[in-house]
Amino acid sequence: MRRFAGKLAVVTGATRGIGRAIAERLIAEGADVVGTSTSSADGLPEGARHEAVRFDDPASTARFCERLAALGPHVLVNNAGIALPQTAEELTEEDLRRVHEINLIVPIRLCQAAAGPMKRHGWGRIVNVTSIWGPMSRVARGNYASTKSGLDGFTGVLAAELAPHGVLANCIAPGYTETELIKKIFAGDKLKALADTVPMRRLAQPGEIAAFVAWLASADNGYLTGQNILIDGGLSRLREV
Amino acid sequence: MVDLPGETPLAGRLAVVTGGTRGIGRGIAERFLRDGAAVIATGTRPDGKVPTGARFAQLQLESDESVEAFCRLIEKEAPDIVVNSAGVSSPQTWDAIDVATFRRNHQINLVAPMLICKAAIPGMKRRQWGRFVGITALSGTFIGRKTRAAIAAAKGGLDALHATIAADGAQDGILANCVAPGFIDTDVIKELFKPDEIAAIAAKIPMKRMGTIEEIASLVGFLCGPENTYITGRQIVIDGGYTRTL
Repeated sequence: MRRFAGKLAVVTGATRGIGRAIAERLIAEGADVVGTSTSSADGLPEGARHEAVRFDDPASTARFCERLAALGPHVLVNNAGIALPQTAEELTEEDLRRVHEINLIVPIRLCQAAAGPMKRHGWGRIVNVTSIWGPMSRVARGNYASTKSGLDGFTGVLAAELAPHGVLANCIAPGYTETELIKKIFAGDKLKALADTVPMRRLAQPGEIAAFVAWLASADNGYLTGQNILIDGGLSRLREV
Repeated sequence: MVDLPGETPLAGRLAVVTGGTRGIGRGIAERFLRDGAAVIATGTRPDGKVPTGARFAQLQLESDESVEAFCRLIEKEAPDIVVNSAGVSSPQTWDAIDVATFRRNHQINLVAPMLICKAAIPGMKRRQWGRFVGITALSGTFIGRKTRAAIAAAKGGLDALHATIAADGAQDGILANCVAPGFIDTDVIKELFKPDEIAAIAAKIPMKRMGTIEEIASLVGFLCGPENTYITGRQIVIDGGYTRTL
């Protein structure tokens, strides 16, 4: 399986978690991958090229967008994001703006920068990583869910705009995924308790998310566009009551 | 290290595809064969031509006897993968809608697939591995169209059916999903619409073309293959952007 031979892919947040697994997967299938992180390349999969970008700094984002337009990727995966769980009443304006900058404005800016080259290639695949928080609700996820719903809305419109040019754009919305981040938040027994709330009784491995991202981003996908697809082990829809 | 699937990810698997003599079902059967699976493909006529390499089984979904006989075959063969692709559309306006037509539509699109799924579940549970995909339609969960009451209600039901299979099988390695194709370039479409009508439909699709059978089969292949291990209980629209875009 070398569906990405000769293809250039850009993956944001590629040094850990889901982004790292996506970068690894694309490399394994022959892609030339540029992976970003805020500073250090520690954790970047072997074979990826590193770009340090601070997505909380609009000037750093703007410089990266210029670089992106020059690179002209075939595949763009907007994966980097942050979560600051706060209830609506606790939420500060600063955090509201910061999370929207990183999770929504930056991915939109990157899509803008990549759209032109993809149209020129006459082929492109954009996958934006959203979340079950958007279609689904949970206390203190409002800020995060707002950004992810916004990204889904933008992606649907982008798909309509780019469809005539052979460029497909989708979102994938992972459920609970076993990353360093979630292990930190749900330490010890809490992770097991979390897994027990999932119909499949386990969290997703980042590689499982990456496998579907690779399908969506490859030429195997020729007609699926403008969708936000949940990969959640049945969490959102299936209930045990 | 990334573990990539080989050239025949479905080697050793047995797949059942209803409606395997033409259109999307046939394309799915071909895809499974290419991926290394053994395939049982059904058709309504006794002399149905299925893709080379597939085993043919006659199945008339509106006949209780035929469905029962097929379910016994399923119980015996215990497939790893079941794709309910066969279906029927029975367009009727609300002033013309009649119970017999509506019931026949539901027998074919919903009741028979339910029985087929039921027959396959025990074997999958024994093996702790199974994949169901129901081929639904945009009419149902996603769009309302005049005259499509029967197929919409049945396909919405087929989706609901797969979600409950997903809930039942989540801890037994059984994943169940639906795929809702948009306008696909099949013989049926060419029978239903004149070329200028097809061009008019294509113009309304953001991708400016109908989908191909292979494009649908590719998604079904992913969902039924070893790479899908966490998508379950979903209905995925594959329509070139049609449903979401105004």
